[in-house]
Amino acid sequence: MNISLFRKICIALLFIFLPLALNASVFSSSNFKILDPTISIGGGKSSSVSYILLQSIGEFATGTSTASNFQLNSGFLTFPTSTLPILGATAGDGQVTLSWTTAIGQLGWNVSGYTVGQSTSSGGPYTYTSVGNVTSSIRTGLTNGTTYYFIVSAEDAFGNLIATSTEVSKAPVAVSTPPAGGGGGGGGGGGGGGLLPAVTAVIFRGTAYPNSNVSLLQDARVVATTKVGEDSSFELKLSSGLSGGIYTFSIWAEDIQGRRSITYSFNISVTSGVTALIGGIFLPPTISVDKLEVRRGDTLTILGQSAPLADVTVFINSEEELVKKVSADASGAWLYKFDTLEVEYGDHSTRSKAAKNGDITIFSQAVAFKVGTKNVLADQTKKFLRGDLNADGRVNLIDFSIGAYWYQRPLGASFQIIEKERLNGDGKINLIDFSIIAFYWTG
Amino acid sequence: MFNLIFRISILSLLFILSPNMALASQFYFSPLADEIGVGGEIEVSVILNPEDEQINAIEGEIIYPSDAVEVSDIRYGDSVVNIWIQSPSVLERDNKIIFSGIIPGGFSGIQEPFAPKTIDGKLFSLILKTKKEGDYLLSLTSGKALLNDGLGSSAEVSTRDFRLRVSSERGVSMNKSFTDDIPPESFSPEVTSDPNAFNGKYFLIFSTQDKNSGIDHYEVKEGWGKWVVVESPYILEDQELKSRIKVKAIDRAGNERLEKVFSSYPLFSYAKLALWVIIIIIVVRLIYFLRKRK
Repeated sequence: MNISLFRKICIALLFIFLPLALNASVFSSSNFKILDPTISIGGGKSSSVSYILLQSIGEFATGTSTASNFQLNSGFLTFPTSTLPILGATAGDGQVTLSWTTAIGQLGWNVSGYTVGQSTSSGGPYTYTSVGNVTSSIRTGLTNGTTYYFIVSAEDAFGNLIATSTEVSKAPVAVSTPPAGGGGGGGGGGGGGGLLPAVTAVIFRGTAYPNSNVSLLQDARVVATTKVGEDSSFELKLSSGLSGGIYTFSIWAEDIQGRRSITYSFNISVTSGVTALIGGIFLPPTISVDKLEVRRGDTLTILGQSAPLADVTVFINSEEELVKKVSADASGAWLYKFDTLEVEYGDHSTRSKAAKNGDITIFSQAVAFKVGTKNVLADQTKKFLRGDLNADGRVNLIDFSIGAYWYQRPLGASFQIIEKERLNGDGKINLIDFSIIAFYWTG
Repeated sequence: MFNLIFRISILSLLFILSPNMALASQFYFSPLADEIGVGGEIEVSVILNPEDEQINAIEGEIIYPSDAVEVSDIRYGDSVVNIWIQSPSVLERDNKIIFSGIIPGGFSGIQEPFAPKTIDGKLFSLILKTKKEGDYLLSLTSGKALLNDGLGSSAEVSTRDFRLRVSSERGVSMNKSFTDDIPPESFSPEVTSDPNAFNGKYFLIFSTQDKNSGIDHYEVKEGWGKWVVVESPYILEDQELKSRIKVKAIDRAGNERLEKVFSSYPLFSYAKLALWVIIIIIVVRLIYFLRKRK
């Protein structure tokens, strides 16, 4: 190979790649010199006090630089880059307020927005949210006492993350709050309303079960979760992402045994600039049975969790409804041993309510059992909810989409089994099945 | 005498039965006016009164006179329905509008602070443009409302028709205008697959709300591909999940909310590019100096 040509190739490659890391002073390097500057029309236009860009390219043959499969950009190749945003965090009640310095785009690039990464582990993996071209963001729905780790990344015009801050961490902390403005009322544990002068927000206060996890849904999406303490009371505040309008908020809890409450919903008119308080929420007990089928005369154990020391009423739905009473212990656990001689052979169901301090819940969901000639234990490890079509332990938009796929079309063989097990078992998908999905919705 | 007893009996029956009739959930129309001139536009809302029930699924058909009115728009930004199975759509050929949707957790009336009673919920609004004079009927048929009881039991449902009078006077526009500079709410698109749906292919699900003007449409961009208007669920083009996915929710005022799903198996990243650049520089310099020494 001609040494001059080899030099040209090397220089051309260097010319392409070095600008990423080096600056214009390279042109005065003693290591090489540009031998074949091809000055374009308008060459020398890009000048500054420290250098002149001559817009030259390595010429492999006369008349090159005409290709259909790449674009020739005169001047140095640059990649999006910016200064690093410097991130700060302030802990709040169930939230962390992030703010950061503006990242300055370099080499002609502009910062078009920011993405916030959030994790409960240092170093990630992070859950990313694009927050727009702002320099602050409030991350809500966080669990008090849990340390969260945050980063913020600047985005280029294409949404690529081009510069990421160093990680910061904060643990949200509970703050004391004024007494409920309008708690109670609304039979069946439903909350009364109240107003606190504040930003657009909704506060939910109520009673679940000791050490349970409570989830809050906004228009069918989970927006906050919290761990309930020993006293079974909880509070969730939602302020981010709310504008005035009609919202459906739902709350459900999972007790220490993994049993879920019903999903308790509120259709609320939220006024912009106003904080609404929904107090006095009293979630009905969780409920399960120890046998799917029980030999008549044997005992069926009906159990669940409610508020500590709550009075639990157990309803056995038979030809004639039977009503039993039991008290929850200090941990909220309750258990009733039902003598099945009290009912006839056949299919039955049971549900419950709880009462405490003059407040009473609505009914729990109903749990089915059969009185027959043998005992069949309930599979306590089985976590499938009705409506959980993909068996991931949740009932949400994915299950809805799977149901929608089969809507008004013949079911496939494998899906027929699922439809029978987790929907109404009529061999088709229609509005009734979507109603079941909506009832068991967890978000 | 017999006549009097008969009348009393009928009145008594009505008296006894009327509370039950009132307890049925009801679909009804709420127009901004009962009368409008030819060529005018009128907004007619379709309302659900749950009447002490908790409803979590609804569907129905509205029969309308397509020769006399044109459905110029359907708005459901402020609907109590969170997820539509079939968003309100016009079947012009059949002179009807069909809809079905669900309300996870159920709907039992809208609570307002300090209000003693809940208020009924809007399902959607029709913007009707009148074409010719006369009296016309909008009726809701096949209306269904299912209870939030885990079984999909049917609620008792009644419907109330709407009689629209179109006068010969020149019509004006009678629909609520809105200003909306707030983008749709933030949302979390999710890529998933299931052996029992879409032949096991990966699909994207997404849903959000816009409480002002309502969601107009969604757009998706996979990797370097073009933005395409889609609906959820959307079967991904890139089944190898190498592309980053962007999803835009655009409201009816043109405000956009952009969300991203980072690819599971990215082909390209700046970190990888930087590594390659460093390797190439080292190799080139090595070759250059080796040749120079010769």
